[in-house]
Amino acid sequence: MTSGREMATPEILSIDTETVTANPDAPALRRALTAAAKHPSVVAAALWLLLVGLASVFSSQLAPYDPLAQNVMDSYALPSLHHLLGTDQLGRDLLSRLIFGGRGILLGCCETVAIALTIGVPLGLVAGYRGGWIDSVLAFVVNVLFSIPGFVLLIAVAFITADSLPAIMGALGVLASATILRLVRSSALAVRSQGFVDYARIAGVPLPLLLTRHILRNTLGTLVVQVFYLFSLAFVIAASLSFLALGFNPATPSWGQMVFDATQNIYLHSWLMVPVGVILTATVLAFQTIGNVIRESLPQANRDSLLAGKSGPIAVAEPWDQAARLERSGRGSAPAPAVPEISDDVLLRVDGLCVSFPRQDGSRYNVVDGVDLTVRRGEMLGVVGESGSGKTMSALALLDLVPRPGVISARRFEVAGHNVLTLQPKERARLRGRVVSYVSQEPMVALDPCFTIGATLSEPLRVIRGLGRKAAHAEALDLLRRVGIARPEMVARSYPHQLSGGMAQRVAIALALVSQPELLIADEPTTALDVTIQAEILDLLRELQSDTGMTVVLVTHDLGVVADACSHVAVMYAGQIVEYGAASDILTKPSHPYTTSLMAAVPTAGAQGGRLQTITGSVPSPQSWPVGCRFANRCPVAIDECSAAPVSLQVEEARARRCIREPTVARLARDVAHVVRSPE
Amino acid sequence: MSALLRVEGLVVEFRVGGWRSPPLRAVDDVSFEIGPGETVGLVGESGSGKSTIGRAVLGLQRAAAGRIIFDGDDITDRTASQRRELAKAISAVFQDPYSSLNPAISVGRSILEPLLVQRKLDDAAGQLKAGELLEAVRLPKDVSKRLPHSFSGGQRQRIAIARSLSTEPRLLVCDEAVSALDVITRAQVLNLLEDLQSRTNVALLFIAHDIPIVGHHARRIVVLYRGRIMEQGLTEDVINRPLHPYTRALLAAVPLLDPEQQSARRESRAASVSVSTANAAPPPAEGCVFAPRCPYAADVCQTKRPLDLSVSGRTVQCHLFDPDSGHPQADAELSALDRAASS
Repeated sequence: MTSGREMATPEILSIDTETVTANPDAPALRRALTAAAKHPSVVAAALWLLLVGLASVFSSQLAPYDPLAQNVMDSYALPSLHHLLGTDQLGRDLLSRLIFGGRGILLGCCETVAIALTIGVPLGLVAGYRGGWIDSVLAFVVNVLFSIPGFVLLIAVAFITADSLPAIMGALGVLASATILRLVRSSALAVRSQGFVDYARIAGVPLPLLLTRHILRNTLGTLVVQVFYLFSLAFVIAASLSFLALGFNPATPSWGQMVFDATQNIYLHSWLMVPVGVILTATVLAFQTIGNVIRESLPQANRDSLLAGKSGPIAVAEPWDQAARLERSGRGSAPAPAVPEISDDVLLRVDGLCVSFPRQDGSRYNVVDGVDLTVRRGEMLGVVGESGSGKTMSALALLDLVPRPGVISARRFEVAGHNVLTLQPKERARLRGRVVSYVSQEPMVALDPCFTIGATLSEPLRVIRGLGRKAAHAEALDLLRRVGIARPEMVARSYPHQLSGGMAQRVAIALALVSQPELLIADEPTTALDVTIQAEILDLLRELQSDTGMTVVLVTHDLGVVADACSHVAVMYAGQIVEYGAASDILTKPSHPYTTSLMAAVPTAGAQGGRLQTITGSVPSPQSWPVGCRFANRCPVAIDECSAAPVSLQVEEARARRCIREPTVARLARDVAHVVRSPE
Repeated sequence: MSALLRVEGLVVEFRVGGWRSPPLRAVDDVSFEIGPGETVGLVGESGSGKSTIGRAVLGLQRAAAGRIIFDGDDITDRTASQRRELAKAISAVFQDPYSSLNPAISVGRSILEPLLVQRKLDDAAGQLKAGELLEAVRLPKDVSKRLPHSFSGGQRQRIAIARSLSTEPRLLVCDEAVSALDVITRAQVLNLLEDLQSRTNVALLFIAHDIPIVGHHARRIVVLYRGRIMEQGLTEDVINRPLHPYTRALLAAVPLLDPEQQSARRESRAASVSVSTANAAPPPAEGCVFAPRCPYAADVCQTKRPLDLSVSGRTVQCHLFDPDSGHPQADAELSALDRAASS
């Protein structure tokens, strides 16, 4: 499917992705590890593991006694100055035995993990990347490994190999490789479809390099977490086997032997279990803690946006009760209202609408900066601008759906006679369900893949409109017919994945019509669609509007869409409206250089070859808006005065513009755009 | 002029459903040529097979039939190692700027990867080369150490272009390379491609669903619908005097910037398709794939697949222009064409 998703600027993207960050330029895994390393529990866990490791390496230097030296006169001693942790049934020093006893089990765990990785990672990579019969065969092997009762197998191995711990742990490694294989396979499968893998194939990158550099590196995060879990699993299993008197040799000190000894004496001399129990528990806990914290620090959302790349700045799925705070503001940066005073037929009226986000230091910056809008009943207002112009954020603010931690503020905010500023969050949510409705760029987002289209449409009909089951179904079919679907029964029985993009957008519009809204806010509803289907969807919106008198606010970056569908247009740049008026007026006589530039950048069919007349650079980030005209640094007709002071929105009859140059000069921007070149 | 790339009777099939159901024919008998340094546009809506053709040329998709000839060599069924030779000469830019760069490695390494595969570059030469390539796509050269996530969509697309040009290829496949960008970024990237092309004389296979964009760039246009070529010819012919009803529908759907002209075009659009895409019947098994949506569709369109016809300097696959097809309006269309040609 073609998808013309509009891209967000990194500045806005950073709002919700850069939460944990020491060095934003490091890969996600390294950032996660750095963030995890600062966590106190991880520090404690790592220190503990270090202590255990060092004690095992330097046991002969550290241990106060020979771990095998017996002294039956002093058996079952409780802790004392002579024996800090007491002695066992043969009078052997428990502390020394603990210090000596960890080596075997820790080495065994390392062996398990090493074997599991050696087998699981390469096979998982190949299975995930290649797919096909290799994948099927390996999936079968994995299933077989999973179906083997692990403990029984390990006990069998113990008997066959005369209790050799390395053999037991090796067998465990082979069993555990199935888990690693499955994990790496699914990660590799997800990464395989990414564009950069195609690029690497085209560049002729050899398979081993492709698998390691492009696939493995992007699955490392989950793999690291899994390794810690595997360590603790191997540890627990080894300790459990020793309870069954397996996997250790009475002649050498080991934690397994100590567990076994303690178990034999658990009723008479319970202390024996305490030191070794604490050590085992603490070690398992340490592995688990580190694994958990790294998993938490691997920013799932961030990872998804980096890998899948589909997420813009907007989380529309934000639950309503978590939506941004709404504030009444006393001031705004744009004093002049765009349109003369209010009359009865005004459906939507906002003055000084701002959306702000917090900086790292707690101060706030605006993304939408003082937008005034007046939309009359039955109008279709197009909101146009580049990425980063604040048009989508403005639309979401109208819906009160700005993602947290965004804050909406306005001097005035009225929808269909309701003063939104004085409403409680619950009442605002009600307003959104019934009076204001929303169509997003990605229709599939609005449709739950688990339900048929009929069910998806019927449910809100029953909840919002209080219809019965049958009436709701009939109404759902009627809605589908109204959005131009000729065989509604068939579509109602389908699931979202069975629909084409254009069909899905029709259904999404039907869903938005359920509540018979007075105001429909459509965010780039046709951007992801083919031009033929775009034309149909715009026809549909126009028809629905003339049938129902519904008012539409349509966000788009395509002036052609405005020309086709909209009665009015507001051009936005860097969080402000820079030009407003009737679409027929603005598009034939643009009077702001930015509008002119937007129009010039559209190639027209027929005019062939040559450079397109376009401006350089991109919209400045909301954190670095200049004092003067925000467009000045890209404007082909800017003069020094433009950058000197803020430019206000001047209202002239039915139009408004934010520019100090004459309209005729601004119109020139089109012709000089290709002459004037500023370095980007 | 000998062709740089020649695609002959290409067929690509996908397995859908079980192994017993017949494969889906995504590309059906497609032939076209690209000369050295030339730009050829492939246009069509989703499901037209335009991207699949690009992927077949790049060796990412197996051809079920037909041949792909690059610079005189048949490259249809090259193995991965054989393709390594070709990697220097053919590269690509894809649509999604967000998945185009490996998030775990620096953009400098991404850019140099095709070169590193070809031959060893030492560090200093690599740095220098990465800097040059970044400057060529108008990015500061000191960003090569940074990771992809700090770049915007437009910037990532430039980085992808820098990477694809690093080996100085002779053919660049641009698959919807600017479709995900907004108007101004799109114009910037298109201008950049234009400049780079005039400097390096790379040929472009320009794949897009947007006919004005393709028309702006390409010397020749191939219009695809459901895997078949509907019309193929010089851009000015196809855009100014479209013959095939599908090309007409495609052009009529492009909105004009002037609201008055646009409302006139909207009227003409209503006449260009008989039924909306949502309600179109599936295409007939034999016959023309566009017949269910075509306002000119006659009985013959449902039963007989149209031939490739050579009409006024281009190829059209439509019964309307075949005097022997038995289409009731064929004679009228052809005599209208003759009148236009003689005047």
